[in-house]
Amino acid sequence: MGQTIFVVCRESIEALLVIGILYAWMNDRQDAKTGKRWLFAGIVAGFGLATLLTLTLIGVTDILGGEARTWFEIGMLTFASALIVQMVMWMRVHGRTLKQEIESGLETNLSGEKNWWGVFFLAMIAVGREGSETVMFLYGSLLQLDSFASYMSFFMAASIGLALAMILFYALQLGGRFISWKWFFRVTEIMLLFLGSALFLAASEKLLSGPLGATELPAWMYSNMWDMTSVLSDSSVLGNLLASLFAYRSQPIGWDLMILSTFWVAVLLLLKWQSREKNKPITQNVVNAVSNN
Amino acid sequence: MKFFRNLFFSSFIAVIAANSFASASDISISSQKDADGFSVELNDPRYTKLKTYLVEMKDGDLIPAELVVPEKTRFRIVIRNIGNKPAEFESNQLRQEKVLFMKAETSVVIIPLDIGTYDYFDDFAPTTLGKIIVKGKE
Repeated sequence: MGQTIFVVCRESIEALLVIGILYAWMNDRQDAKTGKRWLFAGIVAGFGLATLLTLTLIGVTDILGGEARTWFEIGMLTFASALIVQMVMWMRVHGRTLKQEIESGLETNLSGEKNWWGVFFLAMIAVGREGSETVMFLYGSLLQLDSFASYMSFFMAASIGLALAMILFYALQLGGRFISWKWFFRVTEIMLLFLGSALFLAASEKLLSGPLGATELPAWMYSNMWDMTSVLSDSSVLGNLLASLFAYRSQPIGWDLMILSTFWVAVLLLLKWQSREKNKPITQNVVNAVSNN
Repeated sequence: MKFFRNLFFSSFIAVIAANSFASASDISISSQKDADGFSVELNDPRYTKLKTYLVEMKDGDLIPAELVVPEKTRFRIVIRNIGNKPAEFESNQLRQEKVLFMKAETSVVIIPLDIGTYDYFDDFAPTTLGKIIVKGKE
């Protein structure tokens, strides 16, 4: 019973973090209804994806065998990581101007609509990826049940696990309501970017030990850079959670550091470029306004 | 009727016994150490290029819970789930994550490792930690 609670809770946290932030963020938008519909559709599609992936895992269907599966996982993780960065950039544009837009009634649905697909896919992958493992675990455990009592305790455990993870979701909703918008946005933005880096790192590690498994890379890429296992091991429950949400590694190798620094440099450059682009028309308008006067 | 039932049961038991015998003979392989203290490799005609070791997962138990392998050498771990529940072979330190349904088998390639200790565990039951001890070849 404890195991079921643990697995369901742990596997749902990542998805609920993404969904919780998107949901809380939409609350203040005028087109929240449309957005939430896209989000919900993404969640439903995610369950579909999870079921499909489970079928390949338990060997019912063989569409994704061995090598193809690894590539699929790498692609899915990289795509999710890119979507998160894009989502943060989108939220930056719309978050900052939100108040003025509402006040002047200028909320542009047009630029938003394009991004609803981003919301959809992000929710779908978040649910589908971890969901497939949960579905398989639950299905496998379900097969072992033999008495009414065991079914009862099983479904109870699964619900408790999900309820525990939902606390995070509600905390995010409360946070969105009671903490100032600016701070809420800043904190969730950082959490999302870290999650993006964790997904990117996971993708790269699958690449390293999968398709690149037979390639001889420079020795420093395989070498441990430092060892913090005695402080916080990434095999412990907390360390493992930090690994999947924040890309924590207690024994990072050169490859990990290379991938993570690539990610962060790219993200910071993108955000910097974005804020410059964003400010350009404003300063120009101001200049125009001033010169017109 | 009774005869059939008995036949059914005895064949069932025979299958289980045969299975446990088969895995019992395998279990001993990577649990054993050779003269230099390294784990004994699995002889599998499918995997001849790399040193190959066997890890079996049984409802949270890892068999063996300790592998001793040479430093800076690529190797393969064949993972088998012999338990009654799904298992997930996971290790952030080895950069692996593989879900296995009951009776499933898979194999992973581990990149060259520095001397040290690396954990692996069943992510669905992370109470027991397995250890990969990497030591010098001498």
